[in-house]
Amino acid sequence: MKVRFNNVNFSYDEESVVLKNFNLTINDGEMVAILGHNGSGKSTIAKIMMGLLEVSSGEIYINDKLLSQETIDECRNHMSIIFQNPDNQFVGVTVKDDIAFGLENKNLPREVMEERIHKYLKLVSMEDFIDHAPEELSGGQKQRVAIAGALALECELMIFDESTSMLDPKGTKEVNEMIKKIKKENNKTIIVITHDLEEASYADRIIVLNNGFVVADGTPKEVFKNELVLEASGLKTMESVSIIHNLKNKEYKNKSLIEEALWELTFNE
Amino acid sequence: MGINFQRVNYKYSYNAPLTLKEVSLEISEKNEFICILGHTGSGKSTLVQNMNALLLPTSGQITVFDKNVIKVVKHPYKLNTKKNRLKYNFIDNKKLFARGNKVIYSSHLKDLRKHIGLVFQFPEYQLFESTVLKDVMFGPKNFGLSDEEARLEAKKACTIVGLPKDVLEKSPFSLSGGQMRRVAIAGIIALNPDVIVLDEPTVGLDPKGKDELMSLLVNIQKETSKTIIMITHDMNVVGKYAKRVIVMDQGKLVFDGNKRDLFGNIERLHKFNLDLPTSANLAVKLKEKGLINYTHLPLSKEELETVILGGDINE
Amino acid sequence: MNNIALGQYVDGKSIIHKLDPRTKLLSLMLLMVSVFLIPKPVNNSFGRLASFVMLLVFAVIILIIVLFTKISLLKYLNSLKQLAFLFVFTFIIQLLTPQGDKILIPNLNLNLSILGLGIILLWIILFIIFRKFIPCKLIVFLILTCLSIYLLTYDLGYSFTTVTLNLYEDGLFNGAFFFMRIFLVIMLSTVLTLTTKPTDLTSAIEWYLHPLTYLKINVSIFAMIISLALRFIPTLFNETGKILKAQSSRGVDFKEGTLKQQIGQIISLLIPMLVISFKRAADLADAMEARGYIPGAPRSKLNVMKFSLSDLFSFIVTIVIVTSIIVVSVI
Repeated sequence: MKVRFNNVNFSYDEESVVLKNFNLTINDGEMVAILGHNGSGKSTIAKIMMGLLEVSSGEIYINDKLLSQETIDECRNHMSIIFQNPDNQFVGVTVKDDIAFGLENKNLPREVMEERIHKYLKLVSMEDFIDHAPEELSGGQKQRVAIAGALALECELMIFDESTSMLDPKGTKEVNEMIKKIKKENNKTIIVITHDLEEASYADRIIVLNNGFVVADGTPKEVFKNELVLEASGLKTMESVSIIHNLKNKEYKNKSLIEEALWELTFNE
Repeated sequence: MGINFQRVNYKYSYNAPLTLKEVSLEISEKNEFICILGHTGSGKSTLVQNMNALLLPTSGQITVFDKNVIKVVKHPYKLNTKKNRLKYNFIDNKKLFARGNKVIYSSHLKDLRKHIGLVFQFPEYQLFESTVLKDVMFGPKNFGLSDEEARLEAKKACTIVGLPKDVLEKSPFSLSGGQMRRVAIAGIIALNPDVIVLDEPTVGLDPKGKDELMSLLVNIQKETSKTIIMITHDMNVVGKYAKRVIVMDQGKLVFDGNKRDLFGNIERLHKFNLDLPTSANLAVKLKEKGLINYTHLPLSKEELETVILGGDINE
Repeated sequence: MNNIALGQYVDGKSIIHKLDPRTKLLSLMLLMVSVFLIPKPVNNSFGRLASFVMLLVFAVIILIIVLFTKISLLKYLNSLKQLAFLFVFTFIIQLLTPQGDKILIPNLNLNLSILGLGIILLWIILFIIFRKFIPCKLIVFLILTCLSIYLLTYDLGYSFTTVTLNLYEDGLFNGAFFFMRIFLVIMLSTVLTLTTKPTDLTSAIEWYLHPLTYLKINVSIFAMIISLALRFIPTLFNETGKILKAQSSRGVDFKEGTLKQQIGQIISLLIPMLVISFKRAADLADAMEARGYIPGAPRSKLNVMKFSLSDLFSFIVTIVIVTSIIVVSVI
């Protein structure tokens, strides 16, 4: 699944421009983390891709197909998105109904639906909750149901739009475990939109956004080293990297060994 | 004396399980910075809502600034039923009268809320007025201040939370998420409460917004020496800022004390389902490799840097 | 607290629960109609007997249905309790309407005197003030009503007018008849709401409205709206509780204050609720669109309603009951 933004401009109103001459290519099978502070335009990118917002100018190509009013439904078939607020994307009255919602929209036969519901609920370890109402689930569990619903659509690209920012640490952990699992087991292109560097640390590639511009683009290691850019973008680098940076000009015992160990710890968690 | 809980039990309805179990604690009215920890459903939110009488204890005694909070008996004619005796602590009530303590009835609970300001999770959702200033004035006016006095308090509060002056006449809905949250916090600070309680104030903010809000709270605490109590899930915040830590687990208060005691015992920490702050985690791993050595576990980035440079942490 | 049950649905595995919601809806509707088909007691002893026997038979049938649902009778009584005033009201109205020629109690003179009315007024005021502390409000109210009427039959002096009422025999029977009728209809509708999930009921209604699609009215959109409402009412209810608490910490007290203040306080609740609802609606629309929902487009269904043997059986039973009622009432 390939996504390409070509000179995209976008603004909600005339005063503020969210994206300006925005160019980005996401390659097939890649896991990309888009980092940025609140209001940096990172969620806008996801909504434009899903065809929920219309660009002022520029083109978006999904699998080399131009995204437009005519192709929107077809393009959406290749992508699914998990949003921030677990409550506001739970459409069904029960877990089962909710996963069925997307499948019903695709007009799939009942047997296929039943099969996929069970398969993907099992994948997110929620099969015991199949008949539960959303009020009976924790935030993390609701997000897992949303992930199952997205997986059940069996599309090639999954977008996680700040899907952990409203969860407690337990829920965040659950969702992140799921993302890692999907990355490992399924051959999907994944886009994670976040302001948490730890979440971004296991991506193949990190893109940092600031005021609608791409200010950094590279592997996690390359981007994390760039503390000044991260700081300027309203983000904080990982603590371990920040320590290396702060103590760069000072002399201490085992300096090189400690630096090496800290780098290793950055990506081992 | 600030807040005193004695063997407080709470449940949401007659046949619900206890959300608070025999909680006893004491919080002084000045100079405290308390973090309340515990995972979802451990009773943290119930605990703080009991502090400002949004919820009233099922049994036990809560004393706030030398006054007792007591649930008023609603159906006296039903008093002898078993159900009612559990629901309303009538006997305690009488005893208290006998001791001549001041009793706060539910109609006077407003007075209590003036002492203890509670900022809820996602407080930006409570904004409703047409301008920021009016919204911040809403609280003080409810507590009987005149328009002029309320405006003065509101302006003061807005300066404390660092809202720029040109924002005051704007609609609160036109602001960014971080600023809306400041407006909401200002709405509580304007009441001039003795104790400020915050329920997860940093959730949903980006790293910069989190840092700014935390340093704001620390500044308020330093300058006014008011007690600040906050619920948080962020161990880094606890490691860096907390003076005292309270841990709730399944409705019970399981830990109340120093953060170094809490993080010093890793086995117990895992029993509470809590993690170490990031820097403490790094420190432990570096020590395992024999690269650094310390007597006290560093709990924040600054402390870890000191340790790496060969220094030690002063209590 | 966190679980606001919407509707009155009680989970169960009884035969009635398992019936196809379409069958249940139609059968119970038919039964309700047939309750209304039972003729009013005619002015002779045989007619009266026939009507009441029919009502009795019906009551037995409903009792059997109720027993089949395996839901405690208390739940049924609860839903009846809410309508108790309606029952009493219809009964009294019927009792006092002039009808037929046999008069049960002739010339019941009610003396509207200052003293008598004063006492009654006092009772009403006391009742309202101590409402909270009175157990079994309804019974106390009934006793008070009877007492007031009884009191008025005495001439306490200073009466400015006298109202003469006649209690008719037919009125008594008709009152009892209407009382029973409402009782039965409410029992039937309670069976429906207690044993059917709101969502199932929605799909059943959607199925019956299906012919409207030929008039180019899109029924599926309405069904989607209803099911989304069912999904979000508990969530918004929780949200209201939170906002209420948040504003209470800012000194809002709905019990006190001048009218102007109270209006301000209600606005402080309403506006945040509106903002939240709109935000939720916008988010939800995005989520639904992203998952490929196109209003009006053909959709398959996971929960297909199945018409089984027990449905057929219960439907036949219903038809038998309805026809026999019609036959009997025609005769």
